[in-house]
Amino acid sequence: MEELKEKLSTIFGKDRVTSNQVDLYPYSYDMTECSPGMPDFVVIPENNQQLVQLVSLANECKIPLIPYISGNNVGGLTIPHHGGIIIDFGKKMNRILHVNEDMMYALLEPGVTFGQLKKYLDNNHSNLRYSYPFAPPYASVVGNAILSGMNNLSCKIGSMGDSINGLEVITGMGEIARIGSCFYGKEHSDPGSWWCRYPMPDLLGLFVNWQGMTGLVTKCAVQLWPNPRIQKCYMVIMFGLTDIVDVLQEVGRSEIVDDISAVNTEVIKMTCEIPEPVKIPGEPDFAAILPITAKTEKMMQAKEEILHQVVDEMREKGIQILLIDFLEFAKIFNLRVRCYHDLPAVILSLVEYSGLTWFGSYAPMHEMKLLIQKVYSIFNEHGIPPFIYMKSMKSGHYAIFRPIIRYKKFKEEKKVHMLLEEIAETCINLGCIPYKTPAWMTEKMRKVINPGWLQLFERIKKCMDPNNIFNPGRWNT
Amino acid sequence: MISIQQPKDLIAIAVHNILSYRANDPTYLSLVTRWKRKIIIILEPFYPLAIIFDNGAITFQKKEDTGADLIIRLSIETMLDLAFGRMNLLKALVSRKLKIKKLYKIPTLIRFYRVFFQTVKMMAVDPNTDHFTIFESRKVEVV
Repeated sequence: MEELKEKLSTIFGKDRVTSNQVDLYPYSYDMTECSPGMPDFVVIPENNQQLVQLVSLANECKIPLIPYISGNNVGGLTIPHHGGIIIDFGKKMNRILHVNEDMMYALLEPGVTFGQLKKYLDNNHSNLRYSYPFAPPYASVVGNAILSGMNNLSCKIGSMGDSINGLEVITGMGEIARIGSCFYGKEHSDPGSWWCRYPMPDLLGLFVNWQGMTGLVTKCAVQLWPNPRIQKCYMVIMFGLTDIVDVLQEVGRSEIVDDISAVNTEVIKMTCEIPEPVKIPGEPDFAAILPITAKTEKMMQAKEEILHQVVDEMREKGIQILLIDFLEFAKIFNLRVRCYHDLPAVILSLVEYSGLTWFGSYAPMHEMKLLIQKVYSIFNEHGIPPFIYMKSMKSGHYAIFRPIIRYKKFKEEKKVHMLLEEIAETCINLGCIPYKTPAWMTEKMRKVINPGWLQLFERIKKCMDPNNIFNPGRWNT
Repeated sequence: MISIQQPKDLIAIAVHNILSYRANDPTYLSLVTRWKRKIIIILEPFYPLAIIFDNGAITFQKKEDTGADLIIRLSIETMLDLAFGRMNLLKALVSRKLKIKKLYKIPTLIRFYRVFFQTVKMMAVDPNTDHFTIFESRKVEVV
């Protein structure tokens, strides 16, 4: 180990390598109930050359490499279960390298945070915007994108994995590869060349959603979007447990909103600091916010007319639905609920407990009503206030279904894990596909995934990482 | 200093928010601290909420009963229209978007207007959208 430390210090510099227990400890766990694991080292890289040398050393010593940015993934993805070297990209590889106004993209290092990007765009390119999740400002843009996060433009553009134009990666062979339209240029790419993912053979799929199992991502180009000057936000309030699904579908399909994010009533109460909320008879079941943007007043009026029409049609079917201006509502009801609109933001209900975990999944729209019914019951059976978050993705092509559990860390792990297992079992049986999966969850999924996919997956992993150094254990590799 | 019951339901959360907003305003305090009334507000399509003013201590009950001094019924849309100046109280009454039982209790109505509806209008025009900076200095005991 001392010899290895010497070699790492030669690569990164003494100040950028540690094996002290007190330094390693914060990297050994996250907010979830996933069991902790201590790394052997933490290194802080500054450039690709250091990482190429690291990959070579890791292959030689057969030591795991775990990429880490801010540790805010809710899935135990950066907990090293086989020791190894944590690569903390967040400290030094955190530059916004280029913003291209013409082709609307930003080229980023992995450590760039949402808060950093928003501030930069607001100050320098206010006609462009990115898409932000229900995550704090200190969470990573690239982490969210390469794990197919869902953000506040997702009804319009879908998963954030779809908005990647290109990546620069370091492979298991220690090669630096540029993927996407940036692949032109033998030595270096032009900063203006990161404009598209296609139409060459799509190698991005070898790195997106792989949880760091196939290589290290050192640059990522993400699409930006026009930032229209006219912005409003509506809110629907639903009386009827599953009627919110009609909103996700019908309003999604109308193609007038940027996003549809829905939470149950208990979550609204959690946001207003009622810690163990109970839904009282007479209260609505769900609420959703619908941000709408437009280039002109006429366009906004047209969109609002369509929205009212869609809502009226739902009322004619007997659905009890309220449609109000969200920002006006927030002013009178409680400004805390603006956190769902003013993204990126620290969402109090997600951070006020010491532990947080979830079954976050992409879900088939046609099963959403059943999912809500079943999972709501499961929460109640376990005596835990339901916390369900949903989105409509890409005009309603599919949905996000995310039951969330807050708990007291180091005290309630067992109870929480039992609840999460039951939810996972139910949701997987109804076709949900979890993202940011801990190993116990992928074990469940493997039982129902077709053998052809599993064989192909294993072969690609073996080909990309013959010594299994990249985040081993993920997806039970 | 006034005290307000910790809310557990959505309407009480909203009313708590409204009644806390001017907790540092001496004019508001003079209206609330020497006043003993029960006002029921029915914000449609939600449930009735009784607001009990007891000389500076404000509590909530989720029920409608005959012991109220005033019963006010309006929709959430009308509430927002009143708050943001798209409608005034008289117009709301005339158009039956605002219904008041025991309207003859004029002093109670006037005081509740000053305590509640004037506050809502002040909140609507407040440019500050940060909950914590607005409420961190408000002297309210939550019980």
